[in-house]
Amino acid sequence: MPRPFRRPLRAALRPLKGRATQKDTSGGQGQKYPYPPLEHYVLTPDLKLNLQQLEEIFHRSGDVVKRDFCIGGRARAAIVYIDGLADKTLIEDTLLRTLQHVPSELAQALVDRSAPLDRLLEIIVPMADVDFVEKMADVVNHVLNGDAVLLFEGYRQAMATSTRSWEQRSISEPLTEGVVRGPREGFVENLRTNTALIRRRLKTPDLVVDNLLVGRYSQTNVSLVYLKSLVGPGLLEEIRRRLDRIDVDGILESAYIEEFIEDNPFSPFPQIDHTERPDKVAAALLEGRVALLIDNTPFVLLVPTLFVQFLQASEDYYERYWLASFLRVLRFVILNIALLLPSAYVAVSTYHQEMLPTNLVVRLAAQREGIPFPAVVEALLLELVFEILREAGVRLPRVVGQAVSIVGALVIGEAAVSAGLFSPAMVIVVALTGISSFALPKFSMAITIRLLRFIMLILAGVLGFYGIMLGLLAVLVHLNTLRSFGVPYLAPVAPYHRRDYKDVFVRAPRWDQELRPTQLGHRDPRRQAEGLQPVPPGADKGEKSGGGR
Amino acid sequence: MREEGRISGWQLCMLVMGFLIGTSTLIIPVGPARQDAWIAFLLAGGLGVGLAYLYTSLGKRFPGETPLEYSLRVLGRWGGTILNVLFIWYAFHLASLVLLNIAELYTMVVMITTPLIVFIGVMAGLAALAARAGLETIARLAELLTPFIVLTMLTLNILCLATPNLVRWENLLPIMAEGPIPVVRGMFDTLAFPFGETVFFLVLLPFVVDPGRTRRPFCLAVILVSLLLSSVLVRNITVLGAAESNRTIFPSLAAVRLINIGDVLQRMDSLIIFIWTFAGFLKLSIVYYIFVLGTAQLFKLKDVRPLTLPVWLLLTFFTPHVYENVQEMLVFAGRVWPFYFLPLYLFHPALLLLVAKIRGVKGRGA
Repeated sequence: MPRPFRRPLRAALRPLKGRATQKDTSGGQGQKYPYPPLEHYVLTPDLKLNLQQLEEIFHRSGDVVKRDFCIGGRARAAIVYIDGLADKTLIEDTLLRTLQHVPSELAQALVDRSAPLDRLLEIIVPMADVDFVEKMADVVNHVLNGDAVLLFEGYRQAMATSTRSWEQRSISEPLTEGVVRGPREGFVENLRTNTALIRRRLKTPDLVVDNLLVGRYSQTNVSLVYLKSLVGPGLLEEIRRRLDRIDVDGILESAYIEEFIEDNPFSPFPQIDHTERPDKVAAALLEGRVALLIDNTPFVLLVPTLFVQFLQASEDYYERYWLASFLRVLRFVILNIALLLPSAYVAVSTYHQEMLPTNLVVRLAAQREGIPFPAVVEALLLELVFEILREAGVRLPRVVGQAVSIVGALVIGEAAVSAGLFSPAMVIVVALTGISSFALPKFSMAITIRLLRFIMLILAGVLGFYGIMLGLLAVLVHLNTLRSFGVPYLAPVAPYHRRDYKDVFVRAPRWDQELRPTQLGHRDPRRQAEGLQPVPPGADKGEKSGGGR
Repeated sequence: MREEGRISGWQLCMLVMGFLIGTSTLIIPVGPARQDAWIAFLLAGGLGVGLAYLYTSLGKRFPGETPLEYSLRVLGRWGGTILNVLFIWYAFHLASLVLLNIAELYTMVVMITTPLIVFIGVMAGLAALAARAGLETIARLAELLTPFIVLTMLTLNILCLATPNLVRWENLLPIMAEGPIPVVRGMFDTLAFPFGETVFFLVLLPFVVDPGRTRRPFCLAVILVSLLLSSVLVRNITVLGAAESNRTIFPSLAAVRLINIGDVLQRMDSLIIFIWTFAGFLKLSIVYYIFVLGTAQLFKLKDVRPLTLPVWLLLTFFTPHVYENVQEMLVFAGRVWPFYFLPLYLFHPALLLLVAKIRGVKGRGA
């Protein structure tokens, strides 16, 4: 049955169309190899000339190590690598030592060129991951990636051996997505470690890791990771098409990629989810999503992304489903508080006092007695103060953090109230709002909500509840126009999909979630076998005996 | 021009429901039937199903075409154009009525000193935004808002029932004391006000994914809304009494204000203003979109989007002059609209269907 809301991906993305085709073919070449292009450098049989060329290419950089040596005392060769990227002990203890002690007849064969280079090296090189290259650009590429490249006198070929090893952060608990229960591993900055973390969770040949290079100078490795038999038709092509368009100098964080491949670049809402948790990525892959791993950042992008994902935490799936469902609803409330509470307070205290019980109105009015600003200005100022404190707390060194909190709590909280600048009720409202925005599981959504809160405040100050509702409707209209890689952003609520509701406002028990979310356009809807609900042993026996008769 | 969006049957159902609830909950008239208004409403709902049948028959005969397109073939160029102009005029008028209803609500009840045009301008601007975003966006908005609106209305009904000594069932008596005539008159009125207005969905029917399956969601929406709104009428009459609900401008607001359960659940009138605004906006954006699309088709434009902004200004400055005050609004909705609107909601589709049948004009078959 055709899905009414699923326009073909290409049609959904008209603004991007056409630009990708304008790119010349050399652009692709230029991306695959280091920038600037090295076309006029070639590997020659003359070892000295080759080394001279390399020196010219690297501009005699201090960290590029070039060393001449003799294989088995006869054949002249050289090794090139970058200090700090390649494993020095491996090169010195294993590679060089073995090569220098090659039996002399083999070395002679190398000098005489009595057999093809690769056949000879098969015998003498003690490494598994080797690559024969014939272009200077490839040599440079390998060197830049931490491989050691062997050059031989008299051959137009070179051999790259994988010796990549550099200092990296060890796997640690993710800082932004902590859990009480659940795996504590987080991604690191190394792409290979990250793919290994995913592969350890999904041990299937179906897990495909597709590599691309993005960024002229940075030559950043980007991996598309997906489960081949699950990922929806058209999705991969669309992602590749959007990634191919990117022609920039460097990619330093996944956010760069995110901003280049979003559906609506002007929206304040994040349209691509990111995570530090391998278990979350594995779960997304199992739903038919695609993960984008970017080298040098622990943040992995997940596409397509729906709005509800920003209200879900991976822990929802590890705790009991009753609690998880409660938390889901609570987060929805939190979202509304974070967005609307200050503006609602301003609207009520400025325009709609009749909405509150009389006692409350009297108390609030008494507090506001003598406050020199209108409620909306008071709220805006206090929100601004809160944002400043928050920003200071994030940026300051940890040791100074305490000072900030003391200044914040005492000076702003106590002194400003007792000086009669702000009313205590407003301080409570702003504090609750701030805490709510921290309680949202995704920071990227919390930022958006914070920004919209200021707009809502101004609307509430101008038009009261009418302004708030119009603002809310505008946000809803906008959210309804959004799509993430062709999937409507508010799915499965709008467009409505009853089956997917098992994982939106509540989290249904594991054994009840038999199907994958329909929205993502995966190939296989069934997630698990039917009837996995655990049955108490007594009931099971009764059923069996009944069947036996 | 062609709208590229496609909506599902469920979305059509939600759109029709949101559209029908729209402003009718706001100024739901008790009218001449007095305490029997809910019977009149149910009967009108039954006839509304008949209207839905008529509209979907037209939609089925001309799949993939809006009435503005096939009327030209059915009635010829001139006749069709005159009919089309009338059609979009009614859409425009309805849009301004909806807008004015919401604005009146706010100036009457919520923010008395703010000028009317502020409410009108901002709301119309937002509807322009929605119309610009296209039919699919509006349909998804309906999917989001309509269930919320319906659930809130049902909750308010239950809360009214739960408030001690609030509902007096004897207010419904006597049933049809003055014979069936007042009920029939009331039925005629309500047939035009919420139910006849679904004639505008003729424009949206061709965008349903499966044009053969429009009748069920359409009729279902009409039935559900007539049940829901007659329950609202019963609530208002039992809580306020027929006379009082006729006197009050916004009877639902007055009835809901009386909800008080243990001094905790009270002042629910703000909730009802919320859902009225949502429902009103939904209806407005649907009518706005239909007007813009109809105008684009009338003038054979390629795209509706350039029209959204000028229409916003047109609507904003036209609306305050639709009538002078809220009394006139109620009289218009109750007494004038049923006759004024009769040509469009009944004669126009019936004429099209009849002439098409006689002349044997068939749809192009999308």
